[in-house]
Order: sequence, then C-alpha cells, then structure tokens
Amino acid sequence: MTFKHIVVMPKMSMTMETGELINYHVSPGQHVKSGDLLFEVMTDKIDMEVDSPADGVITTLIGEVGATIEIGKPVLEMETETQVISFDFSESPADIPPEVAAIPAQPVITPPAPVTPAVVLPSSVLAVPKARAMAAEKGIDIRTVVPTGPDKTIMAADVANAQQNPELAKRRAGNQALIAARIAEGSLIPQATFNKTFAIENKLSDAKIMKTWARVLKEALSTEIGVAKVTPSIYGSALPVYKNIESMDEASLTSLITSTTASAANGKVPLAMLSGASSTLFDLRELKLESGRLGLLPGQSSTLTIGSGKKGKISLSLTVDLRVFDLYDAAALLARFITIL
Amino acid sequence: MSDKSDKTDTNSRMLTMAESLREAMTIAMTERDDVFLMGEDVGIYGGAFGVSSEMQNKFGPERIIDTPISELGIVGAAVGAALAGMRPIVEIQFSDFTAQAMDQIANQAAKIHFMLGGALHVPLVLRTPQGSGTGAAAQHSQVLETWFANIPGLKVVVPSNPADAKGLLLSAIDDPNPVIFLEHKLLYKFPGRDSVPEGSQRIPLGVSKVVRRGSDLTIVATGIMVNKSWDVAEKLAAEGINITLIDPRTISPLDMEPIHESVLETGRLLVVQEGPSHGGFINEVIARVSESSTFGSLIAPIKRLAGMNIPIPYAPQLERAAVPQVEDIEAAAREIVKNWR
Repeated sequence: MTFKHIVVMPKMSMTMETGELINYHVSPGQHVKSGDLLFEVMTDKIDMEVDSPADGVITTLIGEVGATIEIGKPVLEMETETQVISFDFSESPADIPPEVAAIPAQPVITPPAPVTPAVVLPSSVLAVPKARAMAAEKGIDIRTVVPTGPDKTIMAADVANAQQNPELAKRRAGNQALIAARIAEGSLIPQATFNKTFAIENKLSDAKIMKTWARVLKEALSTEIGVAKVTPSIYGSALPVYKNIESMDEASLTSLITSTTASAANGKVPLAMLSGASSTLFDLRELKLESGRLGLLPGQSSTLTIGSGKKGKISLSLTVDLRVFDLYDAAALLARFITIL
Repeated sequence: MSDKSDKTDTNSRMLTMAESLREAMTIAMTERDDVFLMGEDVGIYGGAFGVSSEMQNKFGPERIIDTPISELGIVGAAVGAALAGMRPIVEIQFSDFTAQAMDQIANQAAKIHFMLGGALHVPLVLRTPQGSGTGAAAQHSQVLETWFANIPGLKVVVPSNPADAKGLLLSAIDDPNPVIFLEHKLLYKFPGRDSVPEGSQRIPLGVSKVVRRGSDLTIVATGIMVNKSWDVAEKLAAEGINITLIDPRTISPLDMEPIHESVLETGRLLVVQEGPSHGGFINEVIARVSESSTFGSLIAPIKRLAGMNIPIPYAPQLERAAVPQVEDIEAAAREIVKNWR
C-alpha cells in the first residue's frame, strides 16, 4: 500500500511567512529514505535543509527553484510506504485533502466570526487560574476575553464563552478529520482486541512502557519499530513517532518524550517523527480513565491503550492486525509485555 | 487514601464525644496494662468535662491519677514514664494551660526520638480541650492547634465527632511517639450524626475524611467547624449548591490527597477554622493547593474563614462574633458559588 504525501514549505521561525526554494536534491522517480535531504530553503534569518519524512518515491517537484513560496504551500509530492500522519503543523488549514473533507462523519464546524481586536489590549488582566489554562488551550489571547467576574476578573465561564481563534479552530478540525479518516480506514482491517488488568507495584514511567512495548514488537516482528504516542496539542491529538527506542536508555528516552510532548503541545512535531509508526500507544492514566480501546490506524499492525485501572492496577487493551499477527501470537504478545514490565 | 475502618462494626450506638473518648481510654486500658491516665481532677471528679467520669472506680487511683496543679510537672512525669516503657495519657484541663508545659512538650517529648537516633520512643498522648463558646474568656477559649502543628515530632489530632474521636484516640495511644489530641469543648456533649461502633476499631492518623460529596464547592474544616459546615452544606443542597466537605482529622500529618481530588472537580475552595487566621493551619492547606498543579483548576479565589486576630472576648455577643459561625460559612459558600463560574 502506498500513500500520497505532499511536502510543504515548513515554518522555521516564529516570524517566517515565506521561504525561497534554493535547490532540489532529488528528482522525480527517485527513491528516498526517511531523513534524506529533499531541498534547501533560504529565509531572511536562516537557511535550512528539509528532509524526507518517510521512505518513498518522489513523484512531482511542484515548487520552482528560486521561487518564493508561502509556508504551508506544496513544494514536492511523494509516495510513501507508511502513512505520514501529517499532523498539521505546517500545512495551510485550507489544505485538508478532499477525500478527508468528504467524510460524512466529520463534525460540521462553522468558523466563528473573527474576533474584533480591541484597539489597545491591556498589558495584563485579572483572571482565575483555570481561565488562563483554558485560554492557552484554546489559543485565545486572554486579554481579548471580556471579564464578567468580580473586580473585572476573567472567569472560567468567560473563556468558555469566548470565540475560539478561527485559524486554530480550522486546524483542529482538519487534524481531527484526518485522524477520524485514518481510524475509519483502519476499521476495515481484520482485527482482534485483548484486554488485561494487572497489579503493578511502582508507577510506570512513560519511557519504561514505550521502551518495553517497542522491545516486545521488535522480538515479534524483527523490523524497525516506531511507536506513535497520542499526545495532546493545540491542534488536537498529535501522534509523534518514536523510532528504535527499544535499545535507548530510559533517561534519554524520558527526556526525548518530555521535549517532544512540550513541543507537540505548541503544535510542533519534528518532521522525522511524523511517520514510520508500527504501533500507536494511547496512555489514559494521566486522565485517570480506567480503560479504553483505540482502533487500528492503517499502515500499523497494533494499537495499545493503557488505563489507570482500579486501585493499584493498570489496564491494557491491545488491538492487532490479524493479517500481521497470528491470533494466538497476538495474545501472547500482551502476556509477554506484562512479563517484561 | 480512604477511611474504610470507619463504619464496618455492626453493633453501634449513639454516644456523646465525652462518652466515646472514655470508651476509647477504657478499651486501651483493658487491652494493655501500661496505659494510664493522669491530670488535674481526672480521678475522683472525673475530669473538668467529665471525660474520665467513673474511670477511677474501675481502674483504681494508680491508673487514673489525680495530680497537683502543675502542668510542667504532669507532662514531665508523663514523658519520663513514656521513656520508661509506659503509655501515659495526660489530660491538661484547658489547652491554654499547655503553655505552662511547653518545654516538656516541644523540647523533650517531640524531639527525644529523633535526637537519640530513634533509639527511644515517647508513646505519650496529651488530651486537652480547646475552643470558645463557653463564656470562659481569653485564657480558657483558645484554639492553639497551630502551635503544635508547627513542631516537627508531634502529631496533632482534631476530632469533629464521637465516632472519629474514639477510633483516633485508640490510634493515638498505639502511636509510638507523642500525639496532641485537641477536643472542642462544645463537642463533649455533642451526640454526633453517626453512631459509634462498639469494639476496638482504630482510625489511622493522617487520613482525611470526605464527610460528604458535591461538585460545586470544596470546604475543608476542622473540629467544630466541620459540624457548622455540615449544616451549611445541608441547607445549600436544598438550593442546588452541592458541597464536598473534608475533615482532615489530623492536621499533622496532613493528608491532602482528597482535598486535591475534590478541588480538581469543584475548582472552588473554602477553608474554615476557629483559630485566628494569622499563621493558621488552613493557610497550610491553601499553600499546598497553590503550589501544586491543582492550582490550575481554580475557578474562584480561595476563601478563608477563621477566628479574628484578637483574644477571645468575654461578652457573649463578641465571643460569638470573634469566630466563624454557620451564617458566616453559609454566606461565604454562597458568595463563591454564585460569583465565580
């Protein structure tokens, strides 16, 4: 199975709006590996090399060498072997692929009217902690929210009623539709789910879980393993892919997860982490949800959902592609994972 | 943490707090020979508030010891007895008088275990009444819980009802090191809302009790303020304002877990104590919420209700006005929930 992926002009700095395409390092028909140099870009601040997000074949060079291209506009098109969850950090929000936009289950989002900016925004405002947290999450400038609380304090309800940034709303909708489409596609895969709740003495770190899961998959599949971790961001759920982590030490992996999670929260996932997932991991423990199940994503052979379980226990739900895993082997996979943990 | 030990006895009945405390001491003295009670008028007279009434008839003057009027001497003798392997219970007639014994409490009892590298224990319980409302004026009405809570090495228990008082006192007597047990005078004749289990069930120290649950406001209160807050919660529930009421029961060590859990849900916190606000125990609760991630869930400023920073007046109207009353708690609860959304 191959997937069409469009590589766009990336946003490399806060102020960058356009970039000049200096040269291509690939030509149509060329096979590339994830991380291979595709093209170079010059901006008023820096020059940068853009790498391939996945293994694949270059199909079309869209941008002209020497042209100034807006961020999010296409530069080249390629066919990839793995699904690039093009978590929408750089694409223009209008660029939701038509086949995705056409999915009937997509929630209808009417973009709200743009917020009329106040002529002069105050340098600071009074707001309860929850209001600030909500505003940050929704991408609202807290200073634009009309306060209705005592002493002109912005309340949580004020932020809830405030208009969401339309740009952000569009991106969230796009990202959400994309994931929904992949899950819909994945639901056609023959699959089976196995659940297990087990007692665990120590609090398991994210790194320990991811590393162990990667190790178990590596043992079973003997291929390069990438584990996508469902991560919250301002654009909705991001799925950064952690590759070859089974041999990483726990401390380095922990710091990689921490930095990636922080960067994803702000809507930025490194290109190299957008593809190559063999499995997706959804950890519900922080939300204190006892259990859950995530469906398969196309191009991946499993998903693993971890819940907080009942007191002192955690719950696991493993869904596998039965074309990749034998029914019995898949169940054994879960048992093996628990044993190693 | 939860308090599963509370309500599992099948045989239980309604007792006042004076009766339940007497029952706890009687059980402890029956269980083991090294427990004894000493204090001013605890024997023939049965204690200033009748807590040890008739106990001398049962256990004799060697185990229910009437002492001279010398708080320093009483506590000093008790510390010595504890070091020699006994488990003394000391009753100081009014907590205001602990000032006389403070060197033995703060510099000896609290520290010996630590200064001797854990080689010795001081299994001492100091029971003493506190609080206003009896017209006993400034030197017999104070709430001094923060004096003791500020001394590492002391555990500080503030029961709010007969059932808790019994289970907590039994745990205090079991404890290998000093426990200050502060009983509100107005609660001695209080029958409580819950019946008191028969038998020798302990309630562990350092476990907060969620007295009732509601999603609109969290009230943390101690001692008699738990009962005043209960009345408010009952009244406001009829108006659709639902309150979670938490009684820490021991203010040192302090179990914050249910408090965080509740504030994460309600976003609103009201803390109530009878002692003066300046340097009060409730400030510790607020500080711990403020420096934790729970802070981000606040949708209203945290509200304190505490005694005024004045000596308790003799005039009944002024005495009443000097500490939080049901109507003050009700007004504060209403204000927080109505004004902050």
